[in-house]
Amino acid sequence: MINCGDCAKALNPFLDRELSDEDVIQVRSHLEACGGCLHLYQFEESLRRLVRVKCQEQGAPATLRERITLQLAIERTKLEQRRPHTL
Amino acid sequence: MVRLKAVDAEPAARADTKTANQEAAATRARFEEEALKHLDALYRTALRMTRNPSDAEDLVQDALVRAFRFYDRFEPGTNFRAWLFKILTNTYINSYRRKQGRPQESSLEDTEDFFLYNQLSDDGGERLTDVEGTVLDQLGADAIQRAIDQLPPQFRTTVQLSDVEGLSYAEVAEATGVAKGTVMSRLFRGRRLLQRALWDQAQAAGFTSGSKVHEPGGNGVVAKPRGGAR
Repeated sequence: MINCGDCAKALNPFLDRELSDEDVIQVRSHLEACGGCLHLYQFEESLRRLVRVKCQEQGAPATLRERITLQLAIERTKLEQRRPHTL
Repeated sequence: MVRLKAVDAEPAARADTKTANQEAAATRARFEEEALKHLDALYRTALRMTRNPSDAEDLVQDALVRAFRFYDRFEPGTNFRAWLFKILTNTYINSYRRKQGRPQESSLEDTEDFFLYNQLSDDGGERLTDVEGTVLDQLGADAIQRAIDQLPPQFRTTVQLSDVEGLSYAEVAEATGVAKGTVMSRLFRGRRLLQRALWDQAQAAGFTSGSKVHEPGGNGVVAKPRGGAR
């Protein structure tokens, strides 16, 4: 069974879902047994969520979407005009 | 004989051209549909790179036009999102970074691991399990984005792609052109710096350095009303 130090080191990769199945089991069983590490884990998870949710409130401006759609239409036209000559 | 062959081949070549054109048109239409799904994420990331909305818009547009032109080099079945972010990163490095001159030095101090948890938990031993109800919860989206913007550039993009856009280590590695191990060490350091930067934002917003804001008579710390500071 891993100790608190190992658990702290594994916490970020665990939250990132980047640990091997074996290591996930190790971390989970430590968290079940250790209240201190469980609190830390829950806090870090809520912090990640806060950053993600708040930052994702921002999206691209509608004008940018329009600009890009227009620009890609121009690119498509250029491509169609060029293609017969290149073949 | 040679001439006859050439004449015969012509209608077939024209038909090939037509099919190729149709295929190309369908492929490009698919590109547009797929790429625009990632527009918000690309824009947010561009904004963190350039720290300027008008440059961010130009950067995303340039990157998507490049991606459109190079779309035939994209290998189907590989990760389209990571490929788009890779083009965004390259476009930024090639065209925008120079324009922005020397990156401003970050004044962030490195801190211990889990700085915020330690900072916010009571000395008396009560440990928090959620940011809800803490000074961090009072931070608006703009303050959190300002905190990310304070990270040195290589940490900033890595943290943005991982913690905001949800890319895996492998995808961030592909997008930023570094090894997976480098992504991991950048995330490790970058997140520590981010915790410090978030703390600085909370203090700048006028939330004093105590722990909780919602406990009347706790330790006498009261959050100032939003926008009251400065």
